[in-house]
Amino acid sequence: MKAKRYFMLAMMIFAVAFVSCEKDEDDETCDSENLSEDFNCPIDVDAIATFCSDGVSNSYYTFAGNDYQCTGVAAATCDEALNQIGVALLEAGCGSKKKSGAYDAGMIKLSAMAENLLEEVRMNSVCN
Amino acid sequence: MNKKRFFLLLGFLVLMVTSAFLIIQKTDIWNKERVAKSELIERDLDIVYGSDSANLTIFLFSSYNCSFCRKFYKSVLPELEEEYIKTGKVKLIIKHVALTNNESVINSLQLAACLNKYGNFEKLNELLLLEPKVVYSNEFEEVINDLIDKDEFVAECMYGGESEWYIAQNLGDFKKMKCTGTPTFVINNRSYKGFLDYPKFKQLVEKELAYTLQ
Repeated sequence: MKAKRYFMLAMMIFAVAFVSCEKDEDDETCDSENLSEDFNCPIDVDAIATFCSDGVSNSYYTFAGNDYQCTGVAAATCDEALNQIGVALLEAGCGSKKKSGAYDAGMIKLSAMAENLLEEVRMNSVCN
Repeated sequence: MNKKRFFLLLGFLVLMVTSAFLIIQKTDIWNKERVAKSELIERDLDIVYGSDSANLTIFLFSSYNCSFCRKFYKSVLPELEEEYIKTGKVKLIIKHVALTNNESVINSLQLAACLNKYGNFEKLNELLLLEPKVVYSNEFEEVINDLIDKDEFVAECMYGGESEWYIAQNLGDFKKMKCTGTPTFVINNRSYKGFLDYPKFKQLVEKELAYTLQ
């Protein structure tokens, strides 16, 4: 009788743990991002980080097996996390700190090719 | 065997089987292919390559911020287009998802959807594939404003709710399909997560085509 009770209790704990794990996974969406260009990394440095967000209150970056917590739900709240990843990338041989700053519109430097394309988008995307 | 031993053994077995199941589920083998619980539909603002009469429809959840999605467009799509889309075998339906609340990102996806329907989307697509961070720049915002001033349909699509609703629907579909990242391909109601190079993607297409034609 006692064994049966222990067995039932163990199964209940396991079921609760199983359901909790499943829920976490389903609520989260993740996106891979190559930070190589942003941090001027040589080609042999793996600079792929993953951004995950639950869309409600939490987001974080995962890089080289470590999680870097953001302060909100959006990628724009991850400056501190990206700075920490930047330090790890610098140690791995990347050139400099993030070029584009904290996505400050005034600091975004576009390549000549992107500027040309932007002009083409302006001129050729709709009828005048 | 007494009752106590039997229950302990049974409990242990159940624990082992469930643990093995969870471990396998965590590995890539099972995560690459999942049977979707609901069916995707083509929406008016989707970006579509190929004909309605194609044998196979591939849905792609994609984001310009995702480097593997950009890799797909650059290294896989051209060959897929030549071999399967232009020959009428495959139809590719792209659904852009914003996995962030960032307004600039969402605006750029709304603009892509609106230009695809009411204007010419190709140059914007080229730009976003080349330099996705452009969406955070002042220049990009100016271009959006210019296009809205020039074309009332694009303006209505951008700010009349149509594209906003569409991008929100895509995220809803993405979550409903239990997708966890981009790129995710949904074919014959099965979802495949992650980038595949062309030879592997071709194998997948052939497998799914064979399934469809059965």
